[in-house]
Order: sequence, then C-alpha cells, then structure tokens
Amino acid sequence: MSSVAEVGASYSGRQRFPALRALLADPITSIALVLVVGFLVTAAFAPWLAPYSPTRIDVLHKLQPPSMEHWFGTDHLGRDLLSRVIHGARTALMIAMVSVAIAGAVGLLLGLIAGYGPRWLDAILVLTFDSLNSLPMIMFALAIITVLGAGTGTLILVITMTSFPSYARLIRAQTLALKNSDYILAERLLDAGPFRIIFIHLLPNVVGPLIILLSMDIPVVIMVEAGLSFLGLGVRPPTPSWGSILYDGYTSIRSAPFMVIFGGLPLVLATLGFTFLGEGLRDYLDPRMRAGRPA
Amino acid sequence: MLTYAFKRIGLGLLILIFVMVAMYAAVFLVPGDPASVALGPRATPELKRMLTERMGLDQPVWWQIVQFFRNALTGNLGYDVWSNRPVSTLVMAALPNTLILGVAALATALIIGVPLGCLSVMRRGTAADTAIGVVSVAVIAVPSFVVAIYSLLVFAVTLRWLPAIGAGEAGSIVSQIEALILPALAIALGWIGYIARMVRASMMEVMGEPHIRTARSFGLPEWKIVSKYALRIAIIPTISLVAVGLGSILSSAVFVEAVFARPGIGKLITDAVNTRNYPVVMGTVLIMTAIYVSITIAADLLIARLDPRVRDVFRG
Amino acid sequence: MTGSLSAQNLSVRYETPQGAVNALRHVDIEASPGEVIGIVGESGCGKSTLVTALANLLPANARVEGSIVYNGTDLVGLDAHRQRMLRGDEIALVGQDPMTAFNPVLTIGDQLVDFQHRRRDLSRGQKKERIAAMLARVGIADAARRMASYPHELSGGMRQRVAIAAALLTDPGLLIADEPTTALDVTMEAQIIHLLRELRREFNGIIIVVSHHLGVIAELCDRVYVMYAGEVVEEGGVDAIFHDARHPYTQALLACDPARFHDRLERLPTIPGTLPSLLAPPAGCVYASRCDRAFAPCLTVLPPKVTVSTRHAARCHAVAA
Repeated sequence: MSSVAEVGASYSGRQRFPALRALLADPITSIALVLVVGFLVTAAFAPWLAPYSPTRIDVLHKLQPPSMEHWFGTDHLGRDLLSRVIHGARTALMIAMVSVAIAGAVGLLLGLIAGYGPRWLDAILVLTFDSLNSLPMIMFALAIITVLGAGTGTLILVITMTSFPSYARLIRAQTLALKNSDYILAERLLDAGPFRIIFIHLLPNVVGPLIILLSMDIPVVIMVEAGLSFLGLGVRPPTPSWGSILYDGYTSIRSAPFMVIFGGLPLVLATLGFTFLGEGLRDYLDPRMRAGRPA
Repeated sequence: MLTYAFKRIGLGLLILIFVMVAMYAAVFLVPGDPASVALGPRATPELKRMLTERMGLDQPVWWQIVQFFRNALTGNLGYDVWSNRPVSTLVMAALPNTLILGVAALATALIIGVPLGCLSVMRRGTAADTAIGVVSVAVIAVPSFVVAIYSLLVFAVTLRWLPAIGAGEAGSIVSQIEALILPALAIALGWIGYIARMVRASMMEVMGEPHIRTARSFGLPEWKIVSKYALRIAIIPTISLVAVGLGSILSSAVFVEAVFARPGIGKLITDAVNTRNYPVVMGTVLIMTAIYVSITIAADLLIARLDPRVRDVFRG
Repeated sequence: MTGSLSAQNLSVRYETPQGAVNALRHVDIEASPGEVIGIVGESGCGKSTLVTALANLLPANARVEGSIVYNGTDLVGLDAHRQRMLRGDEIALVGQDPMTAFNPVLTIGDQLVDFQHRRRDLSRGQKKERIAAMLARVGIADAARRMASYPHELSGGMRQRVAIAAALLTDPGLLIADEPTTALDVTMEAQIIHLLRELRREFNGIIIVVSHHLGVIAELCDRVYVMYAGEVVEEGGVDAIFHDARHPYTQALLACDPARFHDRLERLPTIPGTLPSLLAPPAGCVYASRCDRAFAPCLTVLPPKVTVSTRHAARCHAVAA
C-alpha cells in the first residue's frame, strides 16, 4: 500500500507547491503585493503625497464631508483626513517594521543563547519565554504602558516584549535540533568553534522560518498599534495614526460617519495585504508547507 | 494523570509569581516615582505623600511584593487609588460581563467555524473549499475593533437594530442579549476563520490515516467519516488552540468593550491605565492572568481526557 | 449474497508529476463463490493496487481500464455513490496493519456498530449482540468487555481478530485480506492463519488473500496468482504453483523462500537485478531483465499466456517454446 500512498502524496504535493511564478500567478497574492507596495510607497513619500499638513488645524472647516478640496473630508479639528491617513500609514509601517526587527533580533539572540548555552540558562530563558507567552498579551501590554506611559517608544517596547518569545522559541528549537544533528556533531569533533557553527550552519537554516514568522506578524503589529492608539494608549497626539483617526471618528460617529469609514479602510486593506502576502510567502519559502507532510 | 495536573498547576503558579515580580520590578526600575507621574500637574507634596502611602510605595520593593501576594491570598487585591474601593469588588463587578462576552464569542465561533472546516474537508479541492480558505484568512486579518466600529455604524447607528453601548439593563435578559450580539460577533468573526482553518488542517492530516480507509472500506458515508471519525481526532489540537487563543479573545475584548462602552474588565483596566491607577491594574492583571493560566491548564487536562491514548500515558 | 468475480484486462495507472505509473497491467482474475484465491508477489508488484481496485478504494489520481465484474455488475465506471454502496455490504477488506486500522478515539464496539450501518433492520442492541457473538466466534474471550475497549488496549493479534470479525459482520460476498499477518509476530500469525482456515469452511463467498509470504498462501488458498511488476505472470492451483511452477519468476521466488530450505545455507539466495521502472515498462516480458532463460523475443514481444494444464497458465516465451 505504501507505493500508492507515496504516489498519491507527491501528486497532491505538486499541485500545492507554487514556484515563484505560481506565487505571482495566484491572483490574491498578486493583489496583496500591490497593496503592500502601495502602502510602502505611501509611507515612504507621505510628506510629498499628502495634500496638506496632517496636523494643520482649521476649526472653521471641521467635520467637513468629503469634497474636492478634502477628498476624505476633515476631522473634528478641521485637519485634512486624507493627509492624516497618508501620514498614518507612515506611523503604522514605521512602528511595525522597527518593532518586528528589534523583536526578531532579540528573539534570535536569546534563542541562540538558550539553545547553545548551559542548561541552567536554557531553563531560565525557557521559563521566561513561557511566562511571557502564557500571559494574555493585552494585559501585559497595558501593565507596561501603565508603568512607562503611552508613546511611540513604549509601543515599540510592548510589541517587542510580547512577540520576541515566539521567535526565541523557534530559534531555540531549531538550534537544539541542529546541535544534535550528525553533521554538527562531526563539525564539533573537528574542533569547530561555536561561532563557526552558528554562522555557517545555524543562521542560514533558521533565517527562513524566522522571516516567515516576522512577515506574518507585521499585520498583527499594525493592528496592535492601531488598537492601542484607538484606546489613547499608543502614539501620542497629534501624531497621525489610523487608530487615533478611528477614535476621533468614533466620537463623532453620528455626525461624521465618513471619518470611521476612511480611518478603518486603510487599516483593513493594510492588514489584509500584509496577511495574504505573508501567506503567499510562507507557501513559497517554507519547504515543509510546500511538500505537505512527508509520505 | 494527577501528577501531571499538579505539575501543570505548579508551573501555572510559578508563572503568576514571575509576572507579578516582573511588574513590581518594572515599577521600581522606572525613573521618577509613580505617585507624581499619576498625579501629574495636580501633585502637591501632601497629595503625593498620601498616594505613595496608599499604594505602599514607601516600602521596600520585596516587601511590597510579599504584601501583595499575602493579601491576594486572602482575596484582598488592594484599593482603587482614587475611589478607595476594593480592587476585588471592581474586578468581580466587571468580570461577568467580559466572561459572558468571551464565552458567547467563542461559542459562536465554534458553532460556525467547526462545520465550515468540515465542509471544507468534504469539498476539498473545490471552489467552495478555496473560498472558505480565503475568507477565513481575510476575517482573521481584519482587526476586531474595526469590525466592532463598522458594525456599530451599520447596525446600531444607521439601522438602529441593536443598542450601541452598554451591557443591557440589569434584570432584563432580552436587553442584555441584545447588547451582547454585536460585541460577540465582532470578536467571533476572526475566530470563525481561525477555527475553520485549524479544523481543516488537522482534519486533512487525519483523513490520510489508515483507520479512515477502514471506515471507507466499510462504506460509511463521507459526512459520517468526517463528522465522527475524523473530527473526534482533529478537534483535539483545535481545543488547545482555542485555549491558547483565549488570551487573544481577552485582547479583543479590551478593544471591543471600549467601542461598545461595555463595563467589563477591558474597560476597567483601560480606564485604570489612563489614570495610572496601579492597584487596579495590578489586581486586574493578576486575576486575568490567573484565569488565563487556569483555562490553559484545563484545556490540557481536557485534551488528556479526550484522547484515550494520552489518558493512558498519564495513568501508567 | 454471493456471486462470482471476474476482472478482465484490468490496468491501473497513477498520474504523477513524474509521469504515469503503470501499477497494474492487463490483469485477469477469476473467482467463484467458495474459492480462496491467493495473490503473491514481492513488494511493489501491484498486489495492493489490485485489491485496492477490487475494493474501490483507489486514490483520486488512479486511472482504471478494463473491467471488474462482480455478481453481474461492472465496478469500473460505477458512480461514487454506487461504489460506496457495495463497500461494507458486498465487499469487505481486512487491512494489513491492525495497529492503525481502527480509530484510536472510538471504542471497538462503537466502530463495529457503525460498520453494520447497512443493516437498517437491526437495532443498536441487536447490532451489539451480533458483535459479541462474532467476537466470540473469532476467538476473543470476554467479548462484552472488549467492545468497551479502545483499540490501543488490545494486542496486535487481537486487533486483527477484531478486523476479521468486523469484515464478517457485514456478511460480504467478497472478503479481501490484504497482508493479514504481515504486521504480526510468528505466533500470532499462526493463530490468525488457523482462524482464517476455520472460517473458510463456513464462509461461502470468495476470499482473496494477498501476501508476500508463500507459507500463508500455501496454507490458505485453493488457487494462486503470482504477480510481478504489475502483471500476473503465472496462475494455477496451489499444488501446481508450489510443485510444478513453470514461470522462471515463480521458480526463483520459491527458491528464495527460506522456509523451503532443507539445509542451512551459507548465503541466502536472491534474485539478481531490480524491478523494471513502472514509469516506462519494458515492451516485452517484464521479467526479461532478470531472467536467466531470456532470449531475443523476451525483450520485444509480450509473452503469450501459455496454458500448462486446466487452470494453470504462465505468461512466458520460454514455457511456450
């Protein structure tokens, strides 16, 4: 029966395995890529793209519905909503990329230490990762914000603290698996130092899965930033953030519903874009997902 | 089984202690004393001294931690800095609203998500399967508080079908349920997708196992194979996922409660954070972490009960 | 109900990314009620594909040609629903690995009740009574308690007994046992063979036993089909095959069976060479590349079916010559 099973598995394997062409041939991934590139360009060139300053107050023209001068309308202080949304993209993507990069670096380092270090250190680190992981993330975030006060720096710290444990766990697991593999054993018998092993063998092996994990976390971070800013616990006003635009809109939801619509739409599109691009990337990069389960 | 349960509970307690110690250490390490930060420009030396005393900040940190746990064991979580009401009373008043919301959301997600996952498996490879997959990812990606705001705009503000704020009138089940529908759906939406995907993935794995072939060789109808033979096994990882996901349900609850001004834990702690009300934050974090950790343990034990193979490993 | 089985010119291909795998080619099988048919061959010879085709359980990428007529109905090209209606009713399969054949989280009794789902005339209680009786019949003591057990609580031999009981509970006309003893140790194997021998006396349908183990085949079967690389190379009564084998492959197979050695040998005999690729099967005889009697036509011409005696035939140029 084994022959039948194997043949069946490899057959369905090819259908699911997308080559790079297939990655872009998938219409959803392509749309996602367009969205992501669009947001990245918007974030990078925000000052040039925005028709007005995002913080210019004009109380005489507050809560104006969308018009030719103000495509998305104006908020409760008369600020141009389109300009705020464009600069909000900059805030969201900057915070997402910075905190995911820091968290990735911290996770990589601590994961390597846990996997490679002495056993007592490993035990302490694993307990730390587990404790942080077994906390309801929002409670932990709110506790940190209480202590440090709201702001961009706190936000990045919160996101780093709540997301690095899963990266560290991944790196540690990979490190342990590799450390006990035959060829690393052979290297160690040849007196290879830990740095050689880490840089030549370990990093190339762990970077792929780590990047997948990081890319899949970007939409989550965008969401957390917007959520906390919505609660007034994220970036400080008047810095434009999709979350605070949503909050401003929420307070005038009856008189100016266009504000929540235009504040929420970019957030929805950005999380969808990054999520589907991450999914496509994972299917493409992760060989385990690619082949399905080994027969 | 019992040793296993004790081990898990012990680890849970360790995590709780670790968390609280870490929080106290963080308070201690932050430059500037919390009392003046909390008071802001209103700070007078007198007020500051009073607040410092009330929060116990004049004691050494280790003593504060010991005190905190000693009090917590007797059910005393400290007092609200501003209103001086016991934190335990505040938490107990808010907790039911959040728990009802979480359970309602999770139940909705399971009731819709599990059958969707099964349907996906039965129609695997078809357009329906693909559609369920794409929609699942999409609803996972959309932030629940945006769903909450949009549903508020559509169903409460524009259509006026359901109430916009609050948790319903006390004593009126109908009004409480009406107030529950939108927040619960806002949280459940992403979970429907999550559960459908999880059920599909673990079920596809199970469908390749030889015992499914046995069931097929006896001509059992596909729906029965999927809903009984495969689901009983595939649901096990889903349960642990749901337990782990409770943390994320709590997170969503914080935001969704803010949107619908629902007086739950989320609103309690957000307000406390905004006013730097340390005892309320500490007490709420402790209770929520304890609840979260116990649910995780309960899920582990439930998994052990559901899977006779695991059950026997612990028995033996 | 019982009926006869006849597979004619049956071929099965698996469509794979590497190309079509010709797992089964122009196979003819005949069986009448009361007969026990053996199918023997080494791993990868197509015997599992053959019984999987007979039980209608081939994977989606399998392409079937030819016919499988059972009791007057051609199973090939039957729609999925009618195929399913035959399983668990007319055709029952005992799988090769009793360790994984049952659902691990449902009790034996629960599963065996489900497997009788065709018997709408019986209540759940009656089905349980039948199970208890059948479990006792296949030699399981304490049947009532065993019904409440989970599969992992039973030994491998006991599970195989349960698998046989499950198959018999459906009153099949065609019982297929796919490597019924391969996963068992020697003592268990003997017990299961003994059980099957007992059952064949009471059973009046067709039994098909698949094995790579010549001893099992010799013990149980009336007639034998010898398969090699997806083809039937020789067929005949059990005596004819074991004592008067004509095909060079059958002869080599018998020569390699350790149970048949009279003396201890320094080296175990093997058949030199390897199986031909099923992606591109040879034009002539499938065994030609390993055959010590091969001559020119073997490489280019499909060997004819040579009748040796009544119901004994071999596909071989050398036998024909």
